[in-house]
Amino acid sequence: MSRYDAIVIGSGAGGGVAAYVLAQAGKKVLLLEQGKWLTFEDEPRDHLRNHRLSRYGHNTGPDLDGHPRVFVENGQERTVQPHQGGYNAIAAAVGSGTLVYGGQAWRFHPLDFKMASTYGVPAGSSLVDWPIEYEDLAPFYHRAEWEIGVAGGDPAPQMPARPTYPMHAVPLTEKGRLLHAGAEKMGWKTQPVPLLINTAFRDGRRACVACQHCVGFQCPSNAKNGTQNTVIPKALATGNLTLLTEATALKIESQDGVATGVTYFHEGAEKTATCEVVVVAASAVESARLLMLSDLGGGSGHLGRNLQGHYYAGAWGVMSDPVWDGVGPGVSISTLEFSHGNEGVIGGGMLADDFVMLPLSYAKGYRPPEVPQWGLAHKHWMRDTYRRFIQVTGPVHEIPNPEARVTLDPNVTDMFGRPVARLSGVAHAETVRTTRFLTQRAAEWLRAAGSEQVWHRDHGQFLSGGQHQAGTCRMGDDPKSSVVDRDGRLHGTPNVFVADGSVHPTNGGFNPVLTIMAMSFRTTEGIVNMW
Amino acid sequence: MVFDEAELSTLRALIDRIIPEDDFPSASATGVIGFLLGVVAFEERTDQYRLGLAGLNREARLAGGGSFSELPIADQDSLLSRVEQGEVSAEWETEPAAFFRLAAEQAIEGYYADPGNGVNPGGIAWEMIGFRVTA
Repeated sequence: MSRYDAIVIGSGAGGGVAAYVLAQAGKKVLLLEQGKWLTFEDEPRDHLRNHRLSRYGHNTGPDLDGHPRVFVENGQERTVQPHQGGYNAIAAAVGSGTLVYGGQAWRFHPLDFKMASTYGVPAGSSLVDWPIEYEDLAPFYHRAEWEIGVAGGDPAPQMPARPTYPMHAVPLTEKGRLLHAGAEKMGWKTQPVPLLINTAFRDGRRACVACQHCVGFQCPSNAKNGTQNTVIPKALATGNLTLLTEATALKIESQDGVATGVTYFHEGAEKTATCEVVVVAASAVESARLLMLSDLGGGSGHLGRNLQGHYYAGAWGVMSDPVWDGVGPGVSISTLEFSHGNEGVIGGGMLADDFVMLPLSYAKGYRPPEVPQWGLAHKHWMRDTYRRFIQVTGPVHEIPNPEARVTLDPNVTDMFGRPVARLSGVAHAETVRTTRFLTQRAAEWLRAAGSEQVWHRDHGQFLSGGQHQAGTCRMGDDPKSSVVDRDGRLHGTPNVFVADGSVHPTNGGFNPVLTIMAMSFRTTEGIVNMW
Repeated sequence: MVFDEAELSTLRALIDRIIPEDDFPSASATGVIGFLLGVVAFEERTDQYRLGLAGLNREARLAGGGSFSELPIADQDSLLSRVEQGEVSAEWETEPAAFFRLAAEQAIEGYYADPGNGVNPGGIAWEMIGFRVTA
């Protein structure tokens, strides 16, 4: 039986950082990744099979066969595969989502950590403050910004001062210039969107080549900074890290309330490795499921509950002249005017322009109500408006609902015979209200930028998880109402830690990846310091 | 072949009304038939398509044609508008509006997808709308 100091489960934003911190501290680390180590050459850039639009498959794992989930919607349940709606897939690959993300590198707002004390707790929600504050996380944000690599500008006026980023921001696009002028008219402050993307040669890798694909795809110049090309290679270089790919953690073994190792499937066989510390970073759905399968972390009744992600507010417009410059990544300007302090709603969120729109996404998802789904009218709409299209969108700080949850399905099993994740419940109604509020602000921004025609979709209540999934192992000081403590340690189990979005009590009004990285730096530095 | 010649000719006529020819090609001229055969098989929707295509032909016969593909284009369009709203006169063995929406969705997927999907030769659909890949 192999013996390690620590076993880290999952190699994404949280797990990659955890493996790095532990290996650098001299610990012998085993990193288990369910997916493969993919390269750009493996990437067919399939517009129908990627993490932006997964109509018939994905460009990463998990494989379509053998990894189902059960999705419950309006009282109806169905078995879903990784590319289908309701599955809420996270990329299985070395780097996980950080291999294919857009890499928006936001710090959460200080009030994002204090939602309950700022706004009160609405009925039916499990809204709480984080047990830690922005200031506790600030040094780890800084570490993530420099060690993974962020490009951006000065902080928004709504944010505390911070050290500069290592790289300058991506250039303002043509759409960004118009939105900047529109924001000036409204009296709104704007700033570049910080991105985990090289805008200069750094760390032995090239700068962004401004391609049109970016989010959902691998990077053609390896300029996108994920864990797969930053901290994981550095961890491997220490000689202390063993990375196993296509290795699925099946169960955390424990005895008398203490974890003793991990049983995993690799190269056709079940194996068990022992360790002193387990770090779970398999994503909010799978981390909760693995803990349930291991009979750990269930004491509070909160394990698997409060599943959240991000509703997206947003509006769409058509300008009178073409505004498409095709300069990727395409997201270049943002405002934090509506992150907090919004009359009549709870919380808020950041608003920004978006990544370069792919033709197929536009054809499928952005028709105004008067344009038919077919015929010459649809074709002419595509032809006449694609280059004039403009949008503003952003992630809404969700109000957690304990009934939105992950449980083990009683009937359906995966390729290893284990119960699969069953996802049920919907986002809290207050999340919908805040989304509608922010959508109106997005529409105002577009009109101020010169768009005469503005439209948007409406949002009902649905289960939110997706690529920003969080909340299922919420962090808190009280073991009766949380799953991990402020150190990321499972209440009641001294040597199991969770280091992914699962621990977020609330998920911020921003893309959460920099927070996941910063939290993992904090949690695993804490492990090293206590060891 | 999943569909016989008659079914293929109905399918071709259908998708060429979903994306008709103008100064850029129609759906069938850019490989969308082959694309549909692949995705219909992948999603195991062969029966739904077969029944939908048969429904279109029955509808066309009631409208005075031999088959859907033989109707004048204007009549094809008005027939499809009715089917889209679920306002059908003939017997259908699959839900007509759902079939039409699916076929429209999948034809459009094929037309605007990347050339790696065996469609959009030379990126002609992207040229039409002004999408360019630089890197």
